[in-house]
Amino acid sequence: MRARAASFAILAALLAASPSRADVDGFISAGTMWWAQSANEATFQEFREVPQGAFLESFLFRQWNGPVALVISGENAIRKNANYDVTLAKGAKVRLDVGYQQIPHLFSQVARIGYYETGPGTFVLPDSLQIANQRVPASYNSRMNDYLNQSADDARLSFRTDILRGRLRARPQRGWQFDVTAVRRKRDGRKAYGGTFGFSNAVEMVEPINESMLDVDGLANWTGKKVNVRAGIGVSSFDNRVNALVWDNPQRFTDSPTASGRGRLDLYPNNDAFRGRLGASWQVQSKTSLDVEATASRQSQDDAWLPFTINSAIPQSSPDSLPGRSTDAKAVEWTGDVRLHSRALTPSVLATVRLHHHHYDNNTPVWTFAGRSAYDNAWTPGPFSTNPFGNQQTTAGADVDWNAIHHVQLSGTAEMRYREHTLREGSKDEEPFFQGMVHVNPSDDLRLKAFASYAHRYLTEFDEAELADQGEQLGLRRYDIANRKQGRAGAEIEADLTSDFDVAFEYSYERNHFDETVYGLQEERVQGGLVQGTLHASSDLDLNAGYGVSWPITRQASNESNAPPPPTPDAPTNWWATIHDRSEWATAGAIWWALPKKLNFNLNYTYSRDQTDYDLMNAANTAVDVPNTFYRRHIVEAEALWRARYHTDLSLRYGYDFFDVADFANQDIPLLGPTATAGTAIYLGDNVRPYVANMVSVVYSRRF
Amino acid sequence: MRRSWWVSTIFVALLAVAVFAARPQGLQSEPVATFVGSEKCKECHEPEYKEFAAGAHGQAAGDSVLIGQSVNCETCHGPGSRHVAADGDTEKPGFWDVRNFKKMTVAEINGTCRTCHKAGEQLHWDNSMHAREDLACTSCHSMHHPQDVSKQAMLNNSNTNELCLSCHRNKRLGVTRSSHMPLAEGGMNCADCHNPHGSSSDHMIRFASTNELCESCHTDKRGPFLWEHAPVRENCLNCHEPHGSNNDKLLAGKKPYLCQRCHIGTRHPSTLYDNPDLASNRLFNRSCTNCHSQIHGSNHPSGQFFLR
Repeated sequence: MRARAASFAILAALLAASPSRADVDGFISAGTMWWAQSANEATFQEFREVPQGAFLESFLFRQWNGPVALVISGENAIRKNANYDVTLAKGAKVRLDVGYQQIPHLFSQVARIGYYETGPGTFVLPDSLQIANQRVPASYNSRMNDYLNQSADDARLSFRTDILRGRLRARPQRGWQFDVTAVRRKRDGRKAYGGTFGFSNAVEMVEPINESMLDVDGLANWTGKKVNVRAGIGVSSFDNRVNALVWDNPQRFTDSPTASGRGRLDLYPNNDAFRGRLGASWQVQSKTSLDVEATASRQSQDDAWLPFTINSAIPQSSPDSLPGRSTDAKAVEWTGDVRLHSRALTPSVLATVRLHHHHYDNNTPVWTFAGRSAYDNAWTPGPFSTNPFGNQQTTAGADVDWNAIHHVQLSGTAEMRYREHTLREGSKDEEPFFQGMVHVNPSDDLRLKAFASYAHRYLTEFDEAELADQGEQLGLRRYDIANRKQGRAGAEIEADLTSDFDVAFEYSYERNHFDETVYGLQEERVQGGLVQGTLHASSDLDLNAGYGVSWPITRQASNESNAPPPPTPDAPTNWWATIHDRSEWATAGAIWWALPKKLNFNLNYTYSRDQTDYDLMNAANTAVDVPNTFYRRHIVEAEALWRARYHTDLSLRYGYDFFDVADFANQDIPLLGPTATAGTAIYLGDNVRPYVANMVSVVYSRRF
Repeated sequence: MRRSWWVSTIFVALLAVAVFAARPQGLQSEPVATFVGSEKCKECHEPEYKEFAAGAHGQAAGDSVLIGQSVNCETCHGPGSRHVAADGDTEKPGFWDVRNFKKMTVAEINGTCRTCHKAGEQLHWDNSMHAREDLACTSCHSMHHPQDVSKQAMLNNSNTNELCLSCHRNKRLGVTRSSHMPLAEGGMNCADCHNPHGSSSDHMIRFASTNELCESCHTDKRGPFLWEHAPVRENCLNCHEPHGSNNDKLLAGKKPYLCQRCHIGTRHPSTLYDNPDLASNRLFNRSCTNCHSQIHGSNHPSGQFFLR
């Protein structure tokens, strides 16, 4: 409602703006739309509101008078995905930008929930239902089915992020620049969230979202003849107004030491960050420059802990059982970057030497807890200690770009990366990286590019006992800290075959080989290619088309038994998953001026298809593949535009959106689980469904 | 004797060529172009002048003290007196005397823009991959025919993402995937995460690290948490594909197989979930996160396994 009021206020301001003693220009584009969708599927409006009825598509108003200017622009006004920007400038001295944007995220229009929200984050079921389920568990499924199908209400799975941003740039004196930005984000809505009371009593809940984020940053910049110096500070805070999610156990009403009548989980805690930045650039000689940059950020979080459990029958439900009151979490993240560029050797060679260091230093204290109540059902004695993970990476590298001969450029990069991972089994690794690239432009009409790179990451410190402590297989190597050989190569050709016809081809290949991994991700291969072309068929007709495809393949291994001794690669309990993705897109477009400067036809077509095949195998040869998944979409946009006068356009538009899906995990989701293994699970029924949508609109545009 | 005559002749000829080539510019007989002022340009180039006057360049015209030089047409295009004197006659050499950006080299174009734009957003241009790839400022920007809605960034395409995709063609595959950021819908654009003018971080991202960048919007995931999930803390890209994915939530793989690349401990993490388990809540719907919903970290004393 406020957004609509703001939209109308802006429009009123536009109409009321006086063009006296100033130049004014701009445009406005508005219309009315009708659409219909065959199934109420959220994908159609996932990040936008497709207007039904009148809409204001976009507008711009500019008024300037010498050094003073006012610019107001917007898109999708009076919609849920509106975007407005206002700029006020006075010469080069002051520039103020203010913007407001809404980003909706719709997950489901059909999800339902049997719980009632009695307060922020507190969801209840009728007591009588819980009591009946506790007394007669045998008829739980039929009773819950009846209840959910009759009483579950719309779960409204969507949220919207409203962003208000301001930026002030000032140049008070020669060489000085100041830049202050402030961004406030507010996120409001609901999304699906898991709440569980154990394997056989998983409940899909909604996470109530009511969050606000504020970021304010300031940067001072001084530029002299050969030197640039900059310094900045900033603050950031996150405030979650729903501290915890509390929900009733559908199978119980009363608390007992082995089962709880309610569950409670902690939603994202409030946190803060303070950050600073210092940098300098120095033109050492006419052909050599040095850049130094350092950033630091201190992040903290001190939200009060919830008790171990909400289950009043467990003694540890009292806050007094806790070893403290809050995490007192804090981390310092800092980076340093030094780069020296030079053409001093010869003007045809640009050489860069660089050093980059990033450190996430987690200073959160290690907390040891006497035990835990993982599902609020029972108490598991400990002790259990936290792991405040940290990490750091240092990269030393050199780049050379050499214009070897006319129309040929050779580039090379060599890097050495050193990483450390606090409290992980692979605590240190190193990775040399090499890349070569060649650009060849035999003529202005032909451009060729090819590159290849190779990297070999290897662990220099690995603690097998750490893996064992975590209860994992000793052959496991987690892919982000495993030995890895990475090879990449690719080529591009851009050719202007005639003055009116150009084409581009691309091919790329990447392989990540984790050759010492017995269990875990063993290999990842991605191939991709595309072809794209544009044809200026005549002075009135332009055509374009493109097609691209990508084939990622991953292969992983696991083992169903963790009994000692550690299983071997040929153990009878081993299993493997080879997952083949195939993604395609195609585009085609035409712009035709049937009557020059009067009647224009514009056609755009976009196709995308993602298919995944799951090839599952085990040593016992009993594995059965899960079904392939695919997502397919055709989008057609057609427009007939009549230029009534030089400044006025009238358009008739048609849109077609076809969505097809097959995904065993996200389709046909019931409100109550269907099988023996998950028969008691409660879901929200937020299916992904195929749909077809048709849109027709009439749009009026006027430039002034 | 004969040989020395030829040598002398060649030497004298070379000397004459060298003297002619090295003569000072001031000795040229043609007049040197002088500044004529923007009003003169406006007479023939009114649309271009209007766009200049309406934009930031036009507004900066009066602040030469602050930015080091007067901003007008001739700041970028050079002195125009000979161009004006040609009176539209392209046959006259003076007509081509002004700097025409369509005919200039990349180094000349960028050198002209960088005279003023060398701090702020453009500070790291010389480090950037775009500079190494020999891109001109005018590859993306159009001073006189901006296409972006607000005309503030002076882009030569009305859609920032389409502008980026015109070179980064293979990224189109990501943004059209079923799970994607709100790029096509206009909720964000490539420049929200990347600074096309360069940065001191990998892939020209706007923050010091990938996680800082992601957490600038997803601030709820920043923590630090009581119970941390190691790969989350290290790099969001360990599990997510920000440019688009076939899997929910931009995940790099489908659950539970993605999770099972790192977790193969006893009981359910190591179990092969195949076709007979299709309805199991470990494979169905949100799979592992049906229960381990706090997968980005938990601040609950009982949240070691991200269940609370």
